[in-house]
Amino acid sequence: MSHRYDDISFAAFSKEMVLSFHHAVLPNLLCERVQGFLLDLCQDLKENGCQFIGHIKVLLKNDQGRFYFFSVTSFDQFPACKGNITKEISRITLTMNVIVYGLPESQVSILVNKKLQNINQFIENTKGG
Amino acid sequence: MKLIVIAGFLGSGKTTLILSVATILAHQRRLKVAIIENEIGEIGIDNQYLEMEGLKVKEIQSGCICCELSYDLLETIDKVKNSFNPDVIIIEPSGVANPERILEVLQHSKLDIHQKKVVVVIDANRFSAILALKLPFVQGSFRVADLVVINKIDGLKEGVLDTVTRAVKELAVHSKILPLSAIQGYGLNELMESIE
Repeated sequence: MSHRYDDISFAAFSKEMVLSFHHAVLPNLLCERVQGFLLDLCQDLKENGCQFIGHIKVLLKNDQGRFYFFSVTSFDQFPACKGNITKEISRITLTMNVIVYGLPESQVSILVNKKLQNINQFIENTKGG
Repeated sequence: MKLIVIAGFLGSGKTTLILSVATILAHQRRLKVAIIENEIGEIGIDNQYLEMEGLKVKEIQSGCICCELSYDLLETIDKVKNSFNPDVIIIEPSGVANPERILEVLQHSKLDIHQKKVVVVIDANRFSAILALKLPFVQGSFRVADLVVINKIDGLKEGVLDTVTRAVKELAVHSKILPLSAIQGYGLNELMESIE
């Protein structure tokens, strides 16, 4: 399924999940590794036929109400990160929204879900970036 | 009550711009500001982000306020007005909304809106790629824009801003055009003068 507004289709994916880490992660490392994760995700989307990124957004929020916000709008762009987390993190809530053109929603869902299955290892640096 | 619609394609920087505008209105001008957020996707992120920055946000989710949720928009404005009585309401439509349709919806409302401004935000870096998608709502947005903000001008390659500005002038014949960097704060003073 895709959404249609003005006869143009796009695929949307949303997910919220809690991430817990075996060892607390420093804020700057968390930021870098989520950026690496997003670069990897964009590459996967592109290789599978995604033509255009509408917007990929990730919000990481800790129990103290502090956050990191990530945004990607192009395959060529390094993911932007802003936020105010100052202490190391062992547990955080991730919310993700993906809106892309050129792929059916079912495929986007499979691709992003598969990628998110490995996000813990990605952030704890036991896999990939 | 004043109403500002800050529209634009996905990823154009609407939320960052709204954060700057709302912060100036609330903290420097001492106005009561409410934001109505409409986002594509089942879980809203922009509303959470703006709330964490200390702003008052009402979310309209799971659809688009220019079409299937147009009634929800009017109802939400009404509720916000009655519960919070803001001086200014800022509406952020989803990045696939047609601002022309939003204005039609607002024109049919009985709300006491004494001033209405439509700001259309574009991403200078992606403007030509987005135009190439030939999205009717993108073209349509320029017809109703009081102001077109060419955002993300920081770090642009030489000549890009001139090219984008020329293209915008052809599409938004009656609109004021303002180059800006919401993230760096360039052009914000001029923007505030235009919408206040």
